[in-house]
Amino acid sequence: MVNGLFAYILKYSKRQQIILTLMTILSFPFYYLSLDLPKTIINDAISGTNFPIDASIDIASFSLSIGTLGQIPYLLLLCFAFLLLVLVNSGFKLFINIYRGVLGERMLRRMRLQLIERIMKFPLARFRSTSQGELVSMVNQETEPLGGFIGESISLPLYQGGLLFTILVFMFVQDWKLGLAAIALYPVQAWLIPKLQREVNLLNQQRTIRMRKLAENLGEVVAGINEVHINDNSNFFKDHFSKLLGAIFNIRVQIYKKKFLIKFLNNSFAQLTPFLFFLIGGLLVIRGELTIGALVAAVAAYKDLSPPWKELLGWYQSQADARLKYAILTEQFQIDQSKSQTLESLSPQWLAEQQTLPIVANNLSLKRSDGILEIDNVSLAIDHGDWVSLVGTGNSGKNGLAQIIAGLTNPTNGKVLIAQHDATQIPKITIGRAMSYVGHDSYLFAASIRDNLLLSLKYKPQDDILNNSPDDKAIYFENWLQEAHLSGNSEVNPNANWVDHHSAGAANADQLTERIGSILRTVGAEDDLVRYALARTINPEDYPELTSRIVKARELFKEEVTLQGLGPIVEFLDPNQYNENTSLAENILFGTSNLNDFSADGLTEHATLRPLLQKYELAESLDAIAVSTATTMVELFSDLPPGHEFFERYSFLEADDLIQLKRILGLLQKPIAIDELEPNDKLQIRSIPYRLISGRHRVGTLGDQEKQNVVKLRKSFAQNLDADSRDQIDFFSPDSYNAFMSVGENIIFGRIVYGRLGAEEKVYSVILDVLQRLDLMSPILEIGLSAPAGLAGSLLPVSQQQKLVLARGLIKQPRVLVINEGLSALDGEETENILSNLKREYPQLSLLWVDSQPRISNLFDRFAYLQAGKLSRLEASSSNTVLKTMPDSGSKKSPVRLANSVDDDEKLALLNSIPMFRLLDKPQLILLASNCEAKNVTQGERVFKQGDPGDSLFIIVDGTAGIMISNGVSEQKVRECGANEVIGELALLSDKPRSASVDAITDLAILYLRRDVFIEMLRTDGEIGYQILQVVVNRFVDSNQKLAKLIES
Amino acid sequence: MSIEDEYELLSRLELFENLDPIQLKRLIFVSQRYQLQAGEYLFRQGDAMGSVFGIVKGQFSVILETAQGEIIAAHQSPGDLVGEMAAISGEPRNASIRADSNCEVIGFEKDLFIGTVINDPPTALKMMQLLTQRLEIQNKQLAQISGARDLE
Repeated sequence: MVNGLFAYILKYSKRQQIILTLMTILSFPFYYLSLDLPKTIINDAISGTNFPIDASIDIASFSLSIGTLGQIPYLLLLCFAFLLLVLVNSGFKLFINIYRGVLGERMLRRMRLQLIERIMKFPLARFRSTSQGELVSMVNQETEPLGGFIGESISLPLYQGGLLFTILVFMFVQDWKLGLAAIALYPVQAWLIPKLQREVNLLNQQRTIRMRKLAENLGEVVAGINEVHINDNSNFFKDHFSKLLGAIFNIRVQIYKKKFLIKFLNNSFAQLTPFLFFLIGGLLVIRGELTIGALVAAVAAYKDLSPPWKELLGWYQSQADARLKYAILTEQFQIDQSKSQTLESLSPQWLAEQQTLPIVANNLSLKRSDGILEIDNVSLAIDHGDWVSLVGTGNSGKNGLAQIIAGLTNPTNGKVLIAQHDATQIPKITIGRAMSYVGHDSYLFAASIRDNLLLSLKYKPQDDILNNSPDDKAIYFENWLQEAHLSGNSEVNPNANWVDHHSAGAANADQLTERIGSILRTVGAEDDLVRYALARTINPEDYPELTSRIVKARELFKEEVTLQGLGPIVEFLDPNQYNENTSLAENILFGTSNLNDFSADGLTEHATLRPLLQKYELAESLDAIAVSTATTMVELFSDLPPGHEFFERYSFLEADDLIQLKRILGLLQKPIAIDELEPNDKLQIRSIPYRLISGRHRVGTLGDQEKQNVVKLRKSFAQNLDADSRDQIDFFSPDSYNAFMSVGENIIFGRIVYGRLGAEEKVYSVILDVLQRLDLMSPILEIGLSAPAGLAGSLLPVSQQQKLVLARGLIKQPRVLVINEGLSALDGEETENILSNLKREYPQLSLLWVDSQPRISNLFDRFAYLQAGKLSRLEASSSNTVLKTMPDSGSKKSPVRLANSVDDDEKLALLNSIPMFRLLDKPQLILLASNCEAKNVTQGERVFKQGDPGDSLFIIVDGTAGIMISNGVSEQKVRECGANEVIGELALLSDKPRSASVDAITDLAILYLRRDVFIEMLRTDGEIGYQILQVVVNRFVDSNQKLAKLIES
Repeated sequence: MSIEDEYELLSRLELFENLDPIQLKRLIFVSQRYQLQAGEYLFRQGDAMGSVFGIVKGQFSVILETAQGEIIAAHQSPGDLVGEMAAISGEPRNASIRADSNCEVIGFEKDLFIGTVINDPPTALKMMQLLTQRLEIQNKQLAQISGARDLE
């Protein structure tokens, strides 16, 4: 950026500054006249005597005669002239103020945009040392005072300086000695004030730095809020911020002291001058060297001299402040622009002409700012269409390498060649079309999902540039354009379309939507989005056409459900039927409302409903249901701790409710009738039936007659409501879209029956079928796409965020894709599916895939292993088997160790390595270990025999054992066990005899755990039990499979 | 069928014999009831594990789906528990369960079921013993079949 604030001001606002100065000077004569006129009014018009008078207007040498006037008309004339002058003056002031403000704001707009532009050009490494909070504070707050200053930066000193100069000239003409006296102290001020001001400047600089620090730390605390909560750091950070604020306070106090000291000095000097006047002037007058008149005139003139001087000094202070602010602001935004030498010939056109796009990385090194060599001389080639998996640990440098190849980071040494051209020479616009990057830290913006997806297509405005905007808005756009031009801002129509359909391979918006749909399928996100869309509620006014089509879809859905024999799993909403799968409240209302009057609570005491309950003989049954349900609930659940998951399952009751209900039930037994209860208690117990869904909760079910009565009640309730209330309810109607129900519910127009296996999935697949047949998939997907992603995508699960980031990368049809652990939240199977889809649908795509282990070898051409910044191995996928060779599997015969050589620590480690004990905590393991005994068994010996009473469990420390099962005739080896395996726990659990024999195939070292100890542990700790259960069941499954296989063969 | 009836039926299960009645009632109360028509599958072999089912009404076949076709391994009737193995092991279902008639079951959600069993040590031990017995029987079958094969 331009060096120095004034250079910046002149560069971008010279013309406006001149206009401002001219206007200021132009206003001066009028101001002078308006000061002069009152004197004329008083002296000539009011106290004057020579009437009639020849009225004329004298401006400079011109004279305009108006004619001869009497006293009153003359007074009127002068008064109106005065009024006119006042208006003209105010007009000037208004103009100048607005002009100044606008000028300042324009410069501010320009400066902020320049800073923002620079932030976007920062190299990535810069963001490791510059925080978001700091940048925000710089762009938002630190620029603000500059705008205020820029408006008056030149006009004010010119004007006030001119004024000062005029008065000084006048004084020197009167008497040069007095003139000298008037400015005698100026040199002192001119020497002293800057000195003090420098100190203020230094303090201001410190303050700015501290404020940045505050912003940075505040941003960090917000980002790390999890840590603050989990560690209860709030006091620690409160104290930290208190210190920061204290430091800022202290600096501010010092600034105040210094700043007002300067003011004080200025004021004192201003008063010191009259002192000199009276002293020196008085002496001169007494000596007769000066006339009294001249002294009085000089003193009067001095009075006028003081304000402009003060203004000038004030301006000096603020310019010093502003210049400093500008300097410390811009030094943070310096970027090295020397490197960005790009070749214009490498345009997107050039890219399109390249048949293949091989990438060669030559001797890349990356040194971090702290001197650590992250990548050390790595060369790697990715041929056109190649799939390379870059494998390494977190600090292997794989992240840096992926970023370099994607062009996000520049290597310290070495080059990346894309189609034989140095990547740094290829303009961003070209690279941006060719390359997509999906990182583990890729970002979703707080916009709709669709906008996030299309981000990769928004690199230049496509059409609708200002000049061809529609007529009625032309003037507005004209102004907009002009203003943008004056502030050096973007001169693009604010409504311009930025989405480049063509780079997505789509001819128009409809095709683009189709493309999005197919890409979402590729990345496995379509299904999620459709489900998401079906669960959303939309405002029918925003989607008039879609909602009417959805209403029509109901019919087909119903048909399909019947056709596929799914009748029993959907209960449609029927005005003449009680719906078993929705609450009583909804059955009565037969509609939805967000008014509290029509919630379960609201209906309970609804004034219109109560008498109707009596009429339809429901009041007593509902009370009975309320009491019986409350009794059951209290009996079963009242001793559960609050927050127990059972409560979640029972949406109609909370733990607190149970305490209340218990008390209310007690009251009812006194006996007190329900009607005599306190209003709150009455509401609490009576509202229960309204929340019950008979198909789900299976308590308090109404009889058939009562259900019919509810249907009758439903109708008369609707009729008895007044029109206003009725308007608040969106009644269920087969012919209209219900705004309170989700899109999916509107298609179903009924309730999925509780208690049918897989009902939701079946209904979902029917919905999908219906949507496809009615060509509704795209509009429904649009609804999902128009949903907000949330700040940093936080409204979506991480796995979906990652899929969307990949989809975004794919939409622009890249030639090269870098996935830098960008699908880390997906499981192996899903990852493999997505990659297979990619391979199938983008056969020309080159892929650099960063991973922590080699996998999915059938999809990759090569695996590149990175270790400590160096390429340690490069393997073609066909030679993949090399990978599998283990470091010499032990055919060596080392003697089996002695069992008593196993010390406590090793016992612990051993026990912990056994799957069965994996989840045990340390104390449990210690307990277990201390109860284990060790022993040796020689080869060929039997550890225990089938049929023996089982009394202990064995863990093999070393050696191999065989499990033998005898059927009475022959003995069969079922399996072999080696080190770290557990045997014999079956008989341990039951007091049955051993179900198998165990032989020592080699010498054995074993630990064993006695049955009584083991059972005791199980009794005291459920978790141990669960672990062991799992082992048992796995064995069972294992033998089950063997059995099945045997039966098969 | 009311909760009391369901409790009556399920409390007769050996697994639940030591369980506090209120615990079992709660488990039944928060669990979902499912109806199946004859021929409908409760779950298929290889399905990801899910709920544990207690049979309330009707009869089911336990079917092993092999390359050679279906093998009906067993029948299960009211009061039997189905699917507890997969719930504990976390493995996919090792057999299919098909309704022979119109059936009704209670589906205990896996976590609730495990939670109830594990938090009651006598029941946990019972569960282990029951499973161990089954394993023993199976191992014997295995030995018999393979032994018989060896003799052939």
